[in-house]
Amino acid sequence: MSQKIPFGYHSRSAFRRVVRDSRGAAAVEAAMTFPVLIAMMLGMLEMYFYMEASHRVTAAAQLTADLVGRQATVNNGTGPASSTPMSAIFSASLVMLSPMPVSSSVPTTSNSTNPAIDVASILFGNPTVTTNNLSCSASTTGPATGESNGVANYCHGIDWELAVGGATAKANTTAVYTNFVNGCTASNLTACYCVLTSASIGNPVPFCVAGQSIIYVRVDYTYTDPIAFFFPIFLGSNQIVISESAFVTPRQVTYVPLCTTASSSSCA
Amino acid sequence: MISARRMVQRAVGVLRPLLGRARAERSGATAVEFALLLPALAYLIFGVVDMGLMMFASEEMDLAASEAVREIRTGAVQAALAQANSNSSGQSLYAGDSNCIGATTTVANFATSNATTNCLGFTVNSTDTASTVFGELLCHTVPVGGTTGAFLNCNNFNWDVQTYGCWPNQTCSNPAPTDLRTVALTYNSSGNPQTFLTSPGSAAIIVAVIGYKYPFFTPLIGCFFDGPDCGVPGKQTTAPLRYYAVVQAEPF
Repeated sequence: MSQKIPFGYHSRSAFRRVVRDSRGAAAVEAAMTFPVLIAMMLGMLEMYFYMEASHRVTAAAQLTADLVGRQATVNNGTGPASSTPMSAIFSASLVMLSPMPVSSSVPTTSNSTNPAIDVASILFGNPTVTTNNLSCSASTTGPATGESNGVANYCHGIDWELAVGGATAKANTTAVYTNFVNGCTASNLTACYCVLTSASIGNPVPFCVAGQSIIYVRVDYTYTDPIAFFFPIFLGSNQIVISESAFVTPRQVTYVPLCTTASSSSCA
Repeated sequence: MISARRMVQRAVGVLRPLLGRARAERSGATAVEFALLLPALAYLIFGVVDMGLMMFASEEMDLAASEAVREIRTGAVQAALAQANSNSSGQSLYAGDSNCIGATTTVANFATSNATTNCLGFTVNSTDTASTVFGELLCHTVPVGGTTGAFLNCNNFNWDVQTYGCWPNQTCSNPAPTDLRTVALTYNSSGNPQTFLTSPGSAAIIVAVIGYKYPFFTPLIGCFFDGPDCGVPGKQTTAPLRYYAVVQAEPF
């Protein structure tokens, strides 16, 4: 049976010597500091890549909205030759996100891609317009669903919305607009302006006047962090969805109609 | 006679106090250790500064690219080229800037020619092509750019700008391809990016890819950015900065 040696009996003096010994302290300190420095450098790179991705998604949303706003008429597959296919604009959106990785297929209403894109045309306050989806006459009364400040004879709503690549159609929710009729009466519709409340805009602002429309574009890009150092720690994943919205008013027409057949009469 | 062994013992006896003092002397240890670590620390610091400069260059390059694309989009380049060709002389890119007429501008003498002619914009010459004008625009728009010695080097820009008459299904002489992603930076047989912009005409659809090669002064940093010269001995690593845009021309 071996004799039990009390803990530290032999090692106590050696331990004290090690504790007192300050040789190599700078090297040890540096060795402790270096991982922190390298982590800072990696974190900086990671933040830069993320900021650049966010910048590109914002630019893509704005450029896509600008392209839609420049068209006189658009179509989603079927339309007269004069109308612009939305698929061409969506493929342009993929170019704008380059050189970040994007799906090889152009987003459509039936597939799931990265990025996913949501485009809508929202009309404000034209009492006589008739589009494919909106039929407004002088007799149209009352607020639209989800609006607390609708005025009689004031027709407005979403003319069309295309959510492609698996995007959620959000224009038709209060997240994009609420309370967007202000300042008008049944006898003076031209005094109206809309107030657009959006999570991406912040405070409600007067955004458009009666008889006009806006194009809403949102690009949802699933960003994959290439370094995956801090992102997994703070987000639990190295992926985050960057969602950027843009609003433009149409440039050539009061509103951009979505054509439904090869006949130009369908572009209403 | 002193044996060799005795001599060694004596020598050790003389040296021992000296060696002992040197071994016990620790006042320079921290400095020595710091000197050993300095290269690694300096590499980290220079690397961080280098990346900061690269981010600055990236922002400047984005700004220059979007401004240059805008000059094709609004038709300013096309109008100035047409005017220069009909006059056989220099023509300001900006209407009303008569100081530029007759001045000659190239990428190389851009700064000096502006100084001598009091030209606020820059001139487009009858010998210019859309592509050379585009290159001058890229240089011109960068606030700290210009010729050699500036922060961004004009020679590091390259571009592939393609213009189409209309959208894919529409009727025109040069419709855009159904998939606009076929446009990329063109490369020559040596693998170097080429500058490319044919006469844009009254362009409808403009697809632009603009590149800037940022050279890192710190070794190996470019490997984080898919730099083409990563790990090649004797070569600076670079960050291939890119700007992509698809826009529709304004009616002009």
